Amino acid sequence: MKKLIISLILIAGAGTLWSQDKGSLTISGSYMYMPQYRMHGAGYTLSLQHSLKPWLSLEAGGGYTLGARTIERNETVNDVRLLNLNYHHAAYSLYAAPVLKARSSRAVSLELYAGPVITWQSNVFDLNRYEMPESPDYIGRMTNIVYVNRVLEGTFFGGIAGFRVNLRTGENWEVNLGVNATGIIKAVSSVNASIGIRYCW
Amino acid sequence: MKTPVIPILFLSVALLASCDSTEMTSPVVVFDALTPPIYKFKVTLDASGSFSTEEGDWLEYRWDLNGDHLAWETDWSNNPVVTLQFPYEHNGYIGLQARDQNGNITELYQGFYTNVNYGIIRPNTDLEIDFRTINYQFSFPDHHWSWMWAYDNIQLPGSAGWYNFPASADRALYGTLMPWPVANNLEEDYRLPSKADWQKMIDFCGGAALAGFNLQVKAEHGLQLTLPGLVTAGQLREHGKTGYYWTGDEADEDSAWALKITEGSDEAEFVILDKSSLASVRLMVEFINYR
Repeated sequence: MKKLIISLILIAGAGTLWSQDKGSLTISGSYMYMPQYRMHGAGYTLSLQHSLKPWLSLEAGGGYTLGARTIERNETVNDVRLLNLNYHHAAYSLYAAPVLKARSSRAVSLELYAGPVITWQSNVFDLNRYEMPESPDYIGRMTNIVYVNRVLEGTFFGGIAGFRVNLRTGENWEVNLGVNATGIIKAVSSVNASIGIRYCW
Repeated sequence: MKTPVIPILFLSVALLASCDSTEMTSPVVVFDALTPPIYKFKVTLDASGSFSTEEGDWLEYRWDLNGDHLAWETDWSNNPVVTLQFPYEHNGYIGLQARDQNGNITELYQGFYTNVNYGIIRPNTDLEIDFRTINYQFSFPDHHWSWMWAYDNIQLPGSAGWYNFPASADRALYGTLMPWPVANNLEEDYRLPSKADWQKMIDFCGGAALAGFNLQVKAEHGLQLTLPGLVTAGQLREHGKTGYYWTGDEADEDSAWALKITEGSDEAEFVILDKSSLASVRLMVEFINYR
């Protein structure tokens, strides 16, 4: 249900912006780092921009990110073999943001943007994974591996802020490089470096 | 223009949210029984091999002793050891949670099996009053061990040389209290168990710390030792409170070792009694068949 609502909002927002003059459509891929859990990952974002003034636009976008981290342990303590731990992250996000533009020339422009984010995240964190020593005959176990994890899943709110540099490569085309930070309350935040391609009209 | 403040503000909030660190570990939990569990016998479970992966941390424990996953039978405690009467006739689960100081919990349930192979028979003996025996069977890769113990306290006909309880029900329950020289020469095929024999039985019953209880447990597979007391200087003492069972080991010319069990105590201990004291007797024999 939440995914459906998010999809409808995305379609409605995109339709509204698409119907306006002087807009752009950007698709970008990103490298993502989540400092709180030191996960790395990648994702993509699709965004629409509508110009209100030469220095101000409105942007709405959505994307999908995947991240992971492996903590190598492979040590034995008290006859217990500590196994590797893994963190996994997946998220769908939607954001809307005013964009401030500064243009040094026709070829290069700088954009600053910040706005609210709604995200649906699924995070699985291994808290522990270990192999117990062999048990005596009177103890029965399905497996000697004990696995403890924490699942953090749901819809969360936060903010996004960042900048990007646009390089004009054709009459209607731009390539951009950007950096942003996404802070999510009670879930996983991230910083992202992205490269994208934009079609302007 | 106030507009540029907005991205700076959001950026600050976003970075702040990103830097909030979280403890991401839970304790390593292992536990075992100190002795093989036996239905209705007390057994000690030990989780002291558990540890936190955080330096300087310490753990608290709570147990689901009946494995019902519904409630914890113990409160959180720093003690990793718990003693319980093993609740399963054949097998069942026992669960443990350990919590570190950050509140992270690891939960472990393990299945425990118990299998005491025994039979109760009434053998032919030299005694005028028969006794039953419990025959424990143990199989090992290279041999088979039959361990036969008197299932009743040995009862003798009336005589001035020993003590019989006046009531027949008491005689059946408590047997005869007899001096060591009589006990040591009762039966040709069965012997008075030595200290080593009793020690094996103590080990089978959970060790010295718990055998006092387990030897008295009213379970078909247990010896069900009773507490007749002791007769010294012609007086019955400690009746219903203690049981003294002769061993075949002399301490010196005038005294011999006896096993002592006490009402309300889990412990079993060996004591030295004057050979003229009148104490209870169980006999035993064992056979080892090599394959």
